Amino acid sequence: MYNETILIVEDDLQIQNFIGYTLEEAGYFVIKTAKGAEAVRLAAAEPVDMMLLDMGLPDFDGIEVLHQVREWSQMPVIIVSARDQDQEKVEALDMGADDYLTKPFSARELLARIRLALRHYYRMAGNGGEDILVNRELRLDRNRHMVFRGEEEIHLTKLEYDLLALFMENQGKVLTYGSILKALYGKNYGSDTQALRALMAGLRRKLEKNTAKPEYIKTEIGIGYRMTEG
Amino acid sequence: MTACKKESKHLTAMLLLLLAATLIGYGFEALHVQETNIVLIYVLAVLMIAWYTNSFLWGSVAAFLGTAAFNFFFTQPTFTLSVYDSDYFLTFLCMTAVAVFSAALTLQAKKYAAQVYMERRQTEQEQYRANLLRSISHDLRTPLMGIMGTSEQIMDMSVENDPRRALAKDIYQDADWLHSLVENILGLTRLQDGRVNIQQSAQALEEIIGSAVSQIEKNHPGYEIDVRLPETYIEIMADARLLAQVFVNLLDNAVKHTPQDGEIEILVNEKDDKKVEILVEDRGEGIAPADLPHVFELFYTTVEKGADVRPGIGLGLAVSKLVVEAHNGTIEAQNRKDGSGAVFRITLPVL
Repeated sequence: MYNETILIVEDDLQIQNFIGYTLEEAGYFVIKTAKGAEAVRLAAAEPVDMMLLDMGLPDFDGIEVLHQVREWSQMPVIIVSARDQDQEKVEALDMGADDYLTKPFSARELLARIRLALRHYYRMAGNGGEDILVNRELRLDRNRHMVFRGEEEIHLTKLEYDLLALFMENQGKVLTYGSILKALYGKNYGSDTQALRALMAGLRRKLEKNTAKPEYIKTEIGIGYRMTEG
Repeated sequence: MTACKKESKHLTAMLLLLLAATLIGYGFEALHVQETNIVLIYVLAVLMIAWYTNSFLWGSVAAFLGTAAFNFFFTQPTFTLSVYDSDYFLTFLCMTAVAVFSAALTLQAKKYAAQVYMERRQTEQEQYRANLLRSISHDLRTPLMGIMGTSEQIMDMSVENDPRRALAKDIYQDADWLHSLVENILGLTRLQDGRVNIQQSAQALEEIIGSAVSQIEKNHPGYEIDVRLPETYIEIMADARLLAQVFVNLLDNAVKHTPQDGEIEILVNEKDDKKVEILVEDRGEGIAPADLPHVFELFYTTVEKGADVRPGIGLGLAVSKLVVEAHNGTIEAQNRKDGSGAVFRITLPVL
């Protein structure tokens, strides 16, 4: 089994220790740093497979680290931040971060997110161009433009279909309002999150048993949506 | 200071300044300085009076008195209010007008300067406050995260009946409690600010409730919350995160007071008058009658000594009320009619 190397960028030493220990216990190799500049250097010099990045670093912003690393690497990056920093989270996700964790988080949650991000990364690398996308009971047939839940066909509008396809291709990943609108409407996507919410409400009424307890597409409040994996 | 005392002080100041202007005028006359300069000295005195008294009325009175004094002391015949040269009437008119007008302008400039100063101080204070909150929240949350993570680690490392596991669990639970305290205090500080920094936009009610429910179910495995919404899509103006926190607070309470298999539910009903009613119901012991009128008061804790429920410090519901009211809604607490349990009823305007 291949053990991934994870770069931890975190300025609080106790949290750095706790995360490092959790990951080592789980079988990953760990590299740690508290500085942004050092993080960029390590990401390039060491065989790093993914990065955990704290947004509030002493020397320069986490967002700057992400920006520099994304210039040459598509490695999964999970943002770690405080609760009231929605703006920074959205900015980081739009810049190509894969997921975010809000402090305080548990070891279990951390490991689950890391596995999710790595799985998503490998699937993407393996050229996820399958014709039929599956999530539990849900099947989306790209050739025939049809969606099934179990045996039953679900009739979607063109936009609802595109929206669902986007989530089926990005299972497990947080998609921000901005990135969804961009994928649906192209370059001039604007920022009509209100219309997106209404579209999502329509899709949920067709997919979910209870719209306030969705099984497939969950709301990430203030950020966007995420399709959970089966 | 009483108004009367203040006005007599203003009167004295006015008379002194006019007297000073007259004396300087005599000095000018003795030195054979042009008469116009004496007029200017009086206008200057009027300006100073307006500035000092901060009143247009006193400024105007001073302008008339100044003109009269100039007439009385310096125009032929002196020590009378009559003049030989009728050209002086024009001088008096202009002098009064200039003095009154300058007084008005002075006052306006003064008011504007004070306003600018106040505004700048206010922004500075807000900035300071925001920075302070930010750093406090960072400085409190970060070590709590360390404590929670590390104690959780120790729990996971020790076997089921190891006493260290129980001790680590205690540490974890205390840290978790402290953490929710910090979050609520921060929320309260932000809300009590008056000029609440909440940013409302059109939001889907089902998403706000849904995210609160999923957070509670994640944190309390073993509890299932029954949510019943109407089929229609309900939009409200809200700060989504703040409003979701209200439901988290209410559900958290419900979970604390309800045994594992007891029902906890959220019911949403549309009302005719562009309002939506949201009920959060549990099957706990309900709210003691003595507590009912006070549950939303800040720092109010129950008079009943519950057995195994950790007492709150009376923040969650107080914060919830502030948030709901900032959304032009209402919140009330009551007990269930169909058996034991509490009901929290929130109404909010819909779009």
